[in-house]
Amino acid sequence: MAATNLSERRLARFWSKYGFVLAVLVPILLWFSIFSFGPILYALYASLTNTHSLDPSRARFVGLDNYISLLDDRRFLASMSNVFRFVLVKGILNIVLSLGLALLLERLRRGRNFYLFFIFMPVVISQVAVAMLFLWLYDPRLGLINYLLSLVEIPPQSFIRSTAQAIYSVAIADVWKTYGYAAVIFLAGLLDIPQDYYEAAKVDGATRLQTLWRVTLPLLKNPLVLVMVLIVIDGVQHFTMVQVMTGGGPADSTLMPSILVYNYGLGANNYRMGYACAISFIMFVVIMAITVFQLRLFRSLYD
Amino acid sequence: MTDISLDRRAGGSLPSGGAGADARIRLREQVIALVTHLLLVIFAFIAFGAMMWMVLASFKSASEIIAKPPTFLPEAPTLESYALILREQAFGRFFLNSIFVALPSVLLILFSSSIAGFVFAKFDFPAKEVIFTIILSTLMVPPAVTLLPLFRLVSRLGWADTYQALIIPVCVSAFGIFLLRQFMEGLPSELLDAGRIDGASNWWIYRHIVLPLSVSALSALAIFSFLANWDSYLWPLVIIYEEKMRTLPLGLAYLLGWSSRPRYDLFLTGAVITVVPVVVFYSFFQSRFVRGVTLTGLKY
Repeated sequence: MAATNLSERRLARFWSKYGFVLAVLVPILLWFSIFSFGPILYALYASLTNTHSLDPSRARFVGLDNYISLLDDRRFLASMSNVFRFVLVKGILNIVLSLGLALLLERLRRGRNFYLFFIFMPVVISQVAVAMLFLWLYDPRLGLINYLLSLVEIPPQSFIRSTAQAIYSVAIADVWKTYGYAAVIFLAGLLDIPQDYYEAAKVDGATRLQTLWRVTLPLLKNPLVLVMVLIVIDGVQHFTMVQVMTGGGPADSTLMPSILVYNYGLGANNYRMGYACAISFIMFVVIMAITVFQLRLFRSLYD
Repeated sequence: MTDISLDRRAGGSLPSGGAGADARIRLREQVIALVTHLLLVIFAFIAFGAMMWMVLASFKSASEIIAKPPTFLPEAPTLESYALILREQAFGRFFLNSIFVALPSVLLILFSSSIAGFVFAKFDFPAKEVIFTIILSTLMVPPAVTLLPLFRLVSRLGWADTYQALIIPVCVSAFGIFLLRQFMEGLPSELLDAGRIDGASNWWIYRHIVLPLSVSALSALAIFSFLANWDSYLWPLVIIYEEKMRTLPLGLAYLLGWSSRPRYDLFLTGAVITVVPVVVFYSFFQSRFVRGVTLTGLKY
């Protein structure tokens, strides 16, 4: 009798201490198990089998076969080299433009929000809508860009219809949509730099370029790391705009790993879920590796 | 990241051309200011001009859109492409679908993130940091990884072509929990203790003290999760087959296969319908959107 009383009291104490925590965390963790951890682990398992996307009944464990086959898969290798170029072009253009823009905006005493209103607008609109807009702008015959080029006597370009230009064309469309976001992060970082630093540089007789290189950029380290990590993560898993604008073509020249996961996993005549999951795990590893590398690099550069 | 406004922090200002500065320096400053504004106008024009071009094009006839040389203002403004897209392509329905999906998703994300953020910020319990780290680490996983397992799971639940298929798998956000925890850790614990001494329940404290104090973080989260949801394309593409269940991005992308020739009149009109609610919303709350970037600073 006394023992039950004691354990009852202990239970009551436990409940009053952790009841709320449990009531919140149990459903949350249940959701994560079902819709996040579970699927992640399942994808890892599936990547070691030859499971069919629509019919799992005949799945067989194949070990690392999927990963080994990927090394010979021309489409997979093409998607890796495409995404590398995509991230490189997107990254360089994005950072140069957004940093330049942030430096311009920082100089203003008034009117910052006025310009930002327009420049930030592409960031908020849907990717599919942007893809539609650029499909039109890039149209070789009817598009505005070739019309503008013709005014300065440049022959019409094929943009997304040419294997040589397509990947750069989609990267530029993506930069148009996203660089305003990075610009705001840089601007916030710039406005956070105490003015004394600039005055000290001025007293020391530093030129504008020296000030930018020696004072501003080192102090922008955190925003720079943040933006670069975001660009890589975002770029490696890019799907929507490229899928809508080119579907990976022409001749796989804009094929992205995410598009390949979709095509192999759910494309007609494919449904190779195990194989597609192997690609998605390679993406995951690449993203982690690059992120860690970037963080290390910046730490060693500036500390 | 802390919530900072996009203004220079107080104290210290650039030495301006004061009494001692001669006219040449002042002229140089003025030229630099002029060039700055000129460049910014170009930036703004490239961003906004392309969008205005699209909006104007949606009021042109199908033949005027492909006219050479292109016209800027519509010569004979017409709503024919709007009529066509609403008649042939159920864009009204797609619009409602997008709203029916986005609103519950955002509300559930706000609720789950704030209450879990509250628990992680203001309670002590065993394995707290381990659980939090595991939740946070899911942010590193690209959506392509969970795509096919989720497709299998949700199909087996029989949810294909339903609203819950588009809501339930996105209604909790690891990023939102992270953001709200960060924010709520900054709230003074004394306020909460005052409520506890008065015998208030944790739910009451959450509802009446914590939530009202977290409005700035919640509005940033609301904006970003709404944008992400409105923009969502890959998951609906996978799990929605029926035309009447399409959301706007999906309906828009399906226009590509609707005719053999590219129908730019419909593409652009559909894009405008997709974009307008967001742009209107943005126009009213611009500073909140922009500040949301500096507050969230992590994920969009």
